[in-house]
Amino acid sequence: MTSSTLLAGAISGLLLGGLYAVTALGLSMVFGVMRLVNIVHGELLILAAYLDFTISGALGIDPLLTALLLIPVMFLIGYPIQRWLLNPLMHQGMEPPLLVTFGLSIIAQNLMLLIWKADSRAITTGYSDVGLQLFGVRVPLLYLVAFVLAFVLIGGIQFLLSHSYIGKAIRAASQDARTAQVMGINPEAVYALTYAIGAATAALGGTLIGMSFSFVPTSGLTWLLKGFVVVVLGGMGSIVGMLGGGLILGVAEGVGAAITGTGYRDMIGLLIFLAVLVIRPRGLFGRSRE
Amino acid sequence: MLLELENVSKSFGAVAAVNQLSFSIAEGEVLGIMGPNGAGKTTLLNLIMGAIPLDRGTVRFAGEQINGLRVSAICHRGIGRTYQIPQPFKRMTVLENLLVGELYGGRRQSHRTAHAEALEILERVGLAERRDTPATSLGLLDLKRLELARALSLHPRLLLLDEIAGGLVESEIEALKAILIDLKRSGMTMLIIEHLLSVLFDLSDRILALNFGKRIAEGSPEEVIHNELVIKAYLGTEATRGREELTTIQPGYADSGQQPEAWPDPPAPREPVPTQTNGQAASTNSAPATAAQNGTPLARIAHVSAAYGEFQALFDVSLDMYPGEIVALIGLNGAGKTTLIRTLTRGLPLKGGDIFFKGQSITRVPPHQIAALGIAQCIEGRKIFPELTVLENLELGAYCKRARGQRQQTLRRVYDLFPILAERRDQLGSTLSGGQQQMLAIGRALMAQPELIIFDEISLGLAPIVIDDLYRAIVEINRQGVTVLLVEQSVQRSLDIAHRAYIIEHGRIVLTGTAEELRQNEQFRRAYFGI
Amino acid sequence: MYRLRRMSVEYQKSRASQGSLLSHLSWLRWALLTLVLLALALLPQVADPYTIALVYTMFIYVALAQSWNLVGGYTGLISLGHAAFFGLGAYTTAILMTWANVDFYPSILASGLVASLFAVIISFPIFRFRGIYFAIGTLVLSEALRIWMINWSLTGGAQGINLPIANTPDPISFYYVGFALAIIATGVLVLVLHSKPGFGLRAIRDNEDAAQNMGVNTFMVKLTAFAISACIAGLAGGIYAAYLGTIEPYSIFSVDWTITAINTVIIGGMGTLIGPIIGTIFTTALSEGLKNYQTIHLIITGVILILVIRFLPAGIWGQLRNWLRLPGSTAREARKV
Repeated sequence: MTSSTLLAGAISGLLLGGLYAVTALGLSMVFGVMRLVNIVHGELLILAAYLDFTISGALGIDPLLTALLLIPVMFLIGYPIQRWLLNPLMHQGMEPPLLVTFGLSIIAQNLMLLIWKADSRAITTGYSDVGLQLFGVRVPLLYLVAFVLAFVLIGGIQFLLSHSYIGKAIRAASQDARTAQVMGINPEAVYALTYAIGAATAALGGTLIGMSFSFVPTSGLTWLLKGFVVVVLGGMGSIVGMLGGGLILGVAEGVGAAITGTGYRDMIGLLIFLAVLVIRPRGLFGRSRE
Repeated sequence: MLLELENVSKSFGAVAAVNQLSFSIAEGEVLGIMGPNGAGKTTLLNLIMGAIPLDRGTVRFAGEQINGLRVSAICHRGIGRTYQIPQPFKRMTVLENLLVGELYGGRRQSHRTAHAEALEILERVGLAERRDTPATSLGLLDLKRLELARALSLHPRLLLLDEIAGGLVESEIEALKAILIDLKRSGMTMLIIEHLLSVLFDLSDRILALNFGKRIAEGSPEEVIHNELVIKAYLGTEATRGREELTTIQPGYADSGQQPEAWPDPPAPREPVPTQTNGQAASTNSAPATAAQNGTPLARIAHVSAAYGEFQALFDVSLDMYPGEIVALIGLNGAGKTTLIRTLTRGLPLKGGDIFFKGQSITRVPPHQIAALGIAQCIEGRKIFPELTVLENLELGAYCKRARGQRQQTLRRVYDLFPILAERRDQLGSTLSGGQQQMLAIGRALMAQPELIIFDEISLGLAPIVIDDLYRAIVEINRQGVTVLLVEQSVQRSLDIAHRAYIIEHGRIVLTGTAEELRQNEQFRRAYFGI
Repeated sequence: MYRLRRMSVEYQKSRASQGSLLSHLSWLRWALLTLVLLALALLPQVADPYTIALVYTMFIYVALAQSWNLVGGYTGLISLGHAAFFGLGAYTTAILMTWANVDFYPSILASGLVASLFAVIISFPIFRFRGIYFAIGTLVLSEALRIWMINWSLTGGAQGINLPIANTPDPISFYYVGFALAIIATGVLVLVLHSKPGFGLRAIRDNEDAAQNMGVNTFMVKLTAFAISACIAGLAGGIYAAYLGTIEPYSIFSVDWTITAINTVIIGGMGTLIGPIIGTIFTTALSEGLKNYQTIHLIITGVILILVIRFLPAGIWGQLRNWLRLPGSTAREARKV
C-alpha cells in the first residue's frame, strides 16, 4: 500500500461519489419532503438498470439515451405507488409506510428475479472500458460522466425547488403540510409528485449503476444502504448537501478499500453511517427539524 | 416548602417562555396558576417534570435539587402530572394503566399489592366499574379521571394538574371538582393550571398569575382577580382609541409620499341594531334578527356541533358574517374558538349543522380547496414557512388559481401595507421577529385575494405596540372591502375595531351584539370569564 | 411463581368479567392448548421425515417471530436487523462445536448469550437513534456485520464453517429441541407480559413520554426486551446451524431472515401471542403450496404483507380476535404511533 494507491483510491472514489449522490437523490427527496424512508428505492434503481439493459440492448441505442427515455417511465411507476398506496398511510406515523415499502421491495426483487433470472448483468457500451488519466491515476470514463451528471442533475433539481412555483410548493409542504393546505396546496399531490420525481431520478442513477457495475435482482439492498449513508452525511433533505455526502462516502471508501482491501469496501460506509448518527442524530449538514 | 423554584428561565429561540420565575409551594397547599395563552404555563410544568431542560435557575423538591434529573427519576421522588390532552396507554385497560404507575412509581411492591392499591384509586376517582375497559373506549370525563388516577398511582407528594377541566361540560366539571376537593382535604399538595377560573378559585389556596413567562400577580383568588395587571393581561392592553381614529391613520403612505392604488369603494357602514341574547342558559342562538334587512351573509355558520372523538367541543354554534364587516369571536382559551375555525377551514367533521359561504355549503370541501373559494386564514401561531424567504412565503399565498395571475399587483399592495416586508423580502421567515412574522402571515393571507379573512389569535405573545400596528392593518384591510373574522382572547382590542362580536364560552355562543352594546353589557364580563 | 400465578388468576378473573364469548369457557382454551401440544409432541411418531422437517422449520420460524414480536409488536421498536442475532447465534454454535469441541446443548446456550450480549452492547448507541433511524440503524448494523463476517478469515470468511456431524442430535431430537424453543419463546413472552417489564413495554409502545412520566426507565426496559429478543433469536440460529451442518455468512446473515420474521408477525398479528404462530402456519402453507414457484410465492407474500398493513393492520389473528371479541382485543386497534 503506497501513497499512490491511496491517491488512486481517493480520486476514483471522489468521482464515484458523484454517482453515489445521483443514486441517493430520490431517497433524499422523498425523505426530505415526506419523512418517508423508501426501502424500495434500491429496487427502483436496479429496475431501471434492468430496463435500460433490456431496452438499449433490444433497440441498440446508447444506454444513456435510453435512460432519458426511462425517466418518464419511472415517473409513471412511482406516482401511483405514493398516490394510492402510501398516501393513505402517511398520517399513521412513520412505521406503516416504511413497512409497505419493505413489502414492495420484496415484491420488486422477486419480480425482477422472475423476469430476468439470477444471472449477473452489466450494461456494456463501446466506451465502458475507456479510462482517463487524471492526476496520474487511471479513472474510468464512466465515473467522470457520472460525476458531471451528478452536478447537473442535483443542480437541476435544486433549481426546480428554489425557482419554480411547484418547487416552492413542495418545500412549503415539506416544512408544514397543514399550513400549505391553507394556501391551497394539496399535500397529497405534492407527495405523489415528489415520489415520482424521486423514481424518475432512479432512471439515471440505475443506468449509471448498470454501466459501472454488474448487478443482480438483489443488488438493491446494497445501493439502498449507500443511499442511507449519503443522505445522513449530506443532511436529511438537503439536496446540495447530498453532493458533499456522496463525495465523502466515495473518498472514504476509496481510501479505506486501499488500506483494508476491497472486501470491506461496502462496510466502510455503513460504519460511517452509524458513527455519524451516534454523534449527531440529525446528520451532518442537515437542518434540525422536529 | 415542598416545591421551590428560583429564578427559573427557559427560552425557545428568541422567545422567553419562562422568565426568571420564582415561587414555592408548601406541603398540603394548593397553588393555582393562571394566565393567558402563551403565558408559559405548560412550559413551566414541563420544566418541573424535567421533560425539557431549563436554561437558568433551580427547582427544588423537598429540599433536593431536581432540575437535570431524568423524568422517571423525578417521578420516583414523588411528583405526578396529568396532561392537558389525556395521554393514556391506549391499548391497555384502565386498571393496567394504573398498574404501570403502581409498579414503576418507585415503590417496591408485589403485584398483589399493586393490584389492590390500583383498585382503591379507581374507587376514589369513580372508575372502578371501568377497570377492564380498554382506554381507547373511554369518554372524555373518564379519560380525565384516568389521567388523575394514573398520576395518583405514583402515590405522589405533589400533583401537577394541567388544565384538567378543559373540554368538559358543567356536570362533568362538578364531578371532577368533587374528586379534587376530596384529594385536597386528604392533604395532597397540588399545582393546578386552569383556564376555567371557577375551578381554579374553588380549589386554590393561592393563585399565581403569569404573563409572558413572568409573574404578574400572586395572592388569594379574590386579590388576583381584581388585580389591574391581571385584568389587562386577559382583556387586552393599551388600545382604547375608537375605531374612527384608527382608520384615519394610513400605514406607510405618510412615509413614502406615494398615493395608494385605487381600491374598490368600501361598503356603506352598517347601522348598529340592538340585538342581544341572554346567554346564561341559552343553547340556541339565532343570527341577528335583522338579517333580512342587511342582505345575505357572506358566510354563515349554522347550528354547528363538532367533536374530537369523544370530546364535544362545539354545541349548536351559529355565527354570521356579512360582507364588509369585522366580526369578532371572543372567548377564553379552550372555549372553542379554534375548533370553530377548524370546522370552517380544516375539514373537522361536523356532528351537526352546516357551514355556508356565498350561499354554498362548504363542509365537504377538502381543506386545500378552501383558499380557492375566497377564504384566507392567518392561523394560530402564525405558521409561516420558516425556511422560505419572505417573498416566497408571500408568493405561495397566491398559489391558488384565482390569485396567481395577479400576484405582482397584490404583492405591491401588501408591501404598501407592511413596508417592513418589502425591506426583508429575501430573508428567511425564521429570522423575522414575532410581530414581523405575524405581518407576513397577514400579508400571505392577503395574497390569496380573499373575500373573507380569518385572523386566529394574532396578538399572541406580541407587544402592545406591535399589536396596534397589526390592528391598524386589519382595519385598513377591511376598509378595502375584505370581510374579517377576528378570533381573539383580547376583548378590548377586538371590540375596538369590530362591528359585531360573539362571545363563546365552553363551546357555546353565550352573547352576541354590536361592539357598542357589548362594551356596555353588565353580563359580558361574567360571560367571558365564566364566573 | 405464586405471585405471578395469583396475578394471572386475578387477571383471568378480571378478563372474565368482560363478558365475552370464549372467556367463560376458559377451560376450553386450556383444553385446546393441551390437545395441540400433545399432538405436536406425538407427531414424529407418526409422520414422515419430510413433514417432521417441515414442522421443525416452523418451530424455528415461530421462535424467530416471537423474538421479533417482543420488540416490534409489544415495545414498538421496529427492528430490521434481526438477522444479526440469528447469524451470531449460528456462528457461535458453529465455532464452539467445530473448533472447541463443545457439545450441542451448551453451544446453543452460548449462542443465546452471545446474541444477548451483542444486543446489550449496541443498545447504548442505537437507542439514541430517534424514531425511524432506529429501524434503519438496525438494518445497517446487520448488513455491516454480514460484510464483516464474509471477510473475516478468522471465522471461515466466505466459505463459512462446516459443523461436525458427530455431536449433533438426530432429526427427531432436533424436532423436540425446536419444539421446546418455540414453547420457550412463546412462554417467555407470556411471562414477560404478565410481569412488571411487560407493563413497561406496553406502556412504552403506547406512549413513551407518558411512560417516563409514570416512572418507567424507558432505556432499561427497552434494553431488557432487546436482550431477551436477541437471546431467543440467537438460540434459534444456533439450533439451525447445527441442523444445517454447514453455514456461510451470505445466507445466515441474510436480510431474508428478518423478512421472514416481519412477514409472519405482521400477517399473523403484531402484538399478540398467537399471531406469530398463525402467521407462521400461513406463510409455511403458502410456501408449501407454491413449492415449485419459489419466486412467485415471495411476491405473493409481499402483496399480502402490503394488503395486511393497509387494510388489516391487526393481522389475521388480531382481526379475528376483534371480530369474535375474544379477551385481549380492543374495540378499535389504533395504529397511531
